[in-house]
Amino acid sequence: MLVASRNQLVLSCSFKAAERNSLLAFFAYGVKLELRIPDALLSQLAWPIVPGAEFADEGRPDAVLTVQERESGEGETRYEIVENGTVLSAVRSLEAATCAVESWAQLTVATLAKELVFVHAGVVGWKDRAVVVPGRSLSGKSTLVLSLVERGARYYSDEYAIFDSEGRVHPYWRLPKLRVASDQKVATSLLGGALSGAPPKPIPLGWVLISRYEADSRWHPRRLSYGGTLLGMLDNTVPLRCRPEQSVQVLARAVKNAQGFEGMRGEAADFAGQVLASL
Amino acid sequence: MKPLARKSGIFAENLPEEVVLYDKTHDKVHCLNKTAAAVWENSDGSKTVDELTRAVEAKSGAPTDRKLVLQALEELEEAGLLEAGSGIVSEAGLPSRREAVGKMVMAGSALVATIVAAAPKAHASSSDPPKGGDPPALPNPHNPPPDPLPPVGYRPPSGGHKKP
Repeated sequence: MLVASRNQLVLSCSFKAAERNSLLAFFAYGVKLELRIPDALLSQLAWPIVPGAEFADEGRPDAVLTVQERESGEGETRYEIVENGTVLSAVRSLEAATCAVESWAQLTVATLAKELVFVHAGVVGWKDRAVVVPGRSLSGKSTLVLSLVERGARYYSDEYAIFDSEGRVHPYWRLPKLRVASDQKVATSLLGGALSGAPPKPIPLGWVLISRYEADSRWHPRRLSYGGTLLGMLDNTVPLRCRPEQSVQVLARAVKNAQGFEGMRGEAADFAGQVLASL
Repeated sequence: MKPLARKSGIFAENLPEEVVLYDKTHDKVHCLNKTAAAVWENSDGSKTVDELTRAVEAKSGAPTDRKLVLQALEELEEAGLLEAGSGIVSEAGLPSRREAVGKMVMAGSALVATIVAAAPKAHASSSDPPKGGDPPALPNPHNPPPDPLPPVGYRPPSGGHKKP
């Protein structure tokens, strides 16, 4: 079944159909992705899978992900994750398969979006400029971003800083994903309303904060050179290997108008307060 | 020896006071400070270390310590930014590596900083799940359980994508 509209997606989730694969094609940030997944998995996906995604007609996709449901010899169900014909991995639970599909979609868009450079980072707006906190997944970005927003910064993203050719930072407009349930509740309460509206406009880069967690640390950073700041961002740049010139040029343009800092940080709440007081 | 900078497969971006080099052959990014950048740019295979030192001085407009040029050459060589056979360390009578590192520490910073460009890891864990459990947490773990679908009539915010 081709899921070609929002209504079809709702309908397909509202009843238990016989097991079959559905085809879901969508555009996000100029990238067309196609998912061929079991209906049971389709019903688990949150839409939009990637912020701003819109359904697409059939046509040539930039990447295809297939999830094949298999019964193992011991009667267990396994979900094989296959990208463009290559088996990436196999997982045993529907929840793990859902995570894999969402992660794949988000990272594939970040890699293939030709006109933008995605950097793994949390982003908030402060005094009409972007505060970017680079870091890979599970580095604590979402918690840091939430703490900054609680203290008056404007939410832009908890996963990617998205740079355009002029070096401006765009929002990645989705609810932050936090590991602690109470933090997730705070995020939903704080941002749920805002996220149903239009995202904020892109803003120039103001500050880059490169930090590592150490218990009981206070934020006493050293100022980085432009080159040091750029290296810190490139170390977290998704498309760096496939589009190195674009990545370097775009981010070099961005950092020339910004300040970079590096240091140890303590708990997110303390860090957020110290940071905003100093900017 | 007359050092020769490796320039093939390298893309350069100039910053105020620094140069960033992307090495496409090894997928590494190097940030050269002013001295290292001047040394690399002037290493054309025709200059001795003394001549390089004079060239760096002329470019910077300030006296330059020959030992700093040697340090830059050593770091450039270690970073793979000089052509093979430059042999800077042995030929130029550099101090031992331990002394050189000690000097760098005393000076406060290296002249060449390097990171490796990582390939994006998009995918689910490639390890087989252990008996009784699923693989370790995936990137962007979805915890708590997935958000339910938004109500009918929800319109996603525009996010820079193109309509087909």
